[in-house]
Amino acid sequence: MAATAGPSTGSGDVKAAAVAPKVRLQSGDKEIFIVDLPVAKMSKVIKGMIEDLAGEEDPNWDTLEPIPLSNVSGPILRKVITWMEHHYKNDGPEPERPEDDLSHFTDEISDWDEEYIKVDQGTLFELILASNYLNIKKLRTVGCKTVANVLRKLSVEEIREKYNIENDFTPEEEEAIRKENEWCEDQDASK
Amino acid sequence: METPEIGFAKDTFYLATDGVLNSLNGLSDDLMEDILYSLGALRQNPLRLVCRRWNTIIMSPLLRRQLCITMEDLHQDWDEFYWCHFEERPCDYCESTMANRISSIRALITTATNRVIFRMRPYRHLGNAEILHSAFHNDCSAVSRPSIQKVCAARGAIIENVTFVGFQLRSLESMLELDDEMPCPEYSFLRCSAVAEFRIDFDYCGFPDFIQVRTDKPHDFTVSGVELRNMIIYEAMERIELPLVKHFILRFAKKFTSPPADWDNVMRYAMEREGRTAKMTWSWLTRFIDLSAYWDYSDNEFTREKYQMVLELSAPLAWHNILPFIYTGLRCLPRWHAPVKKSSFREAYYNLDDGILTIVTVCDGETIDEDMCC
Repeated sequence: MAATAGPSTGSGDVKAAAVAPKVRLQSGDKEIFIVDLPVAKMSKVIKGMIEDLAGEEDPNWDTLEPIPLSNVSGPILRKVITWMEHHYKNDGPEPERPEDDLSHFTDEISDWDEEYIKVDQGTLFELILASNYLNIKKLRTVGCKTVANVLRKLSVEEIREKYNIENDFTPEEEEAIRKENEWCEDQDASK
Repeated sequence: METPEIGFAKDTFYLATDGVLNSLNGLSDDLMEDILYSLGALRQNPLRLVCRRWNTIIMSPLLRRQLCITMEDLHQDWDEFYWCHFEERPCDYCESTMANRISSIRALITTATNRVIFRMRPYRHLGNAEILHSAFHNDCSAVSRPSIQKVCAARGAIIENVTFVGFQLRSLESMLELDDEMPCPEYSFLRCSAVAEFRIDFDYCGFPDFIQVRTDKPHDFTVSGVELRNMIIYEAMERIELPLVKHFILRFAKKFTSPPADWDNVMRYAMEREGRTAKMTWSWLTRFIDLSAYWDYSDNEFTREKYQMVLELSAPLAWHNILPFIYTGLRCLPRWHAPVKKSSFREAYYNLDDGILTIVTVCDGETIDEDMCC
């Protein structure tokens, strides 16, 4: 088990870091990451685990067991922590929103996020899965939007090829959908 | 271990993770839904062609999110279903006071179903334009539908001389004042194709057990005696609102006339995502139909035999016939409106004159996307 300091984003602005307790997160491949408590709490799953582990009294954070995140590999967890640290320092904690609030879909991807998410396809998928598992809505949205932006530029055939998707429609079904979609195809052609 | 830099696409370790998901379809339904949803309603439509799963996902979120149904909800909606507004004016052609009051029925008929929504109100002949609803004045054009042949009633009475008039859809939407609703292509199957208003000459004193209007296949509908009575009661209570109608998306008149190709799967998917299996759904539907459409345990005269007769007269209740019927009974709320902050929003404008729909996305006061379709 390797003890690893939490990654730094290199920012001098350390919001509450001087006094914030630290928690240890353990990835699926047993890598340990030491992370500021408020940063870790950006994940609702980690937040819930911390609350469960800590109980009602203020615990001794140094002796607290590492929080196991078995579904996330070390490299991906590191990447996620990088994202959380950056956004905690720059945006603060994510405001509480109701579960059915879909407003984050219209948020623009920031330049930093755009750069951050420039990864290979496998990593992108894993980041999406990790953000979903850790319940970090904003990161999940960034990932989903990134995939969506790629889809936007591809034809149906290209999508099938790039993402290894089998066309399981019958020709009749395909034709029926094409007919239903005529209205938007017309619109695309007019642009 | 060194801290990786942002965007470590070329790190071989991370490339090694390729293959964990060898297809985008390896992502869960939730994630796929979010990805496709991010594209927006218009842009995601072409991607329905990628595969069945994508088609289903694209077509289902609204159902899943908005058709949150319970029996109680449904029944409540059904109670509010009736709307009747009449004027105390004598009708020459009928003697019965009761018949006088319900001498006209207005039905909102969807493209794919029967017995959906109907209204009752005093007979208003199209020739008397001045007594039509004000919303009809400007853009209404009447079209006759010769496929509608006759109206039958129970107790042996045949009601003849039916006048059926369909109104163009846009007159309906202006009547319903749906200006603040988000358009929703996925709901196209729910759109009303016509407003039917037919005249019934009751040539007997008494009250029909039910009235069945036989039309071309998708437009048959039946009004039970219970419903007729309830309409009168509701009218007497001055309940002139019909909330359910307002929840319909009626804007897409011309382009969205056919139900989705794989509709059964779409609905099953939606139901199962909500924890309802097809079997449970079917059981629930049966009960729903029993309770709402034809059967009322408080009505002693409306017996099971009559109920059976209604069923026989109607088209067989196959799954594909039932589904649209249910949709209309569910709470069909307008689509998500995306309110992020005051300066960021998404709005749709439907121009009644040229039929062009424009969806505008504004972010921080600046228009970032504008989609139009005719």
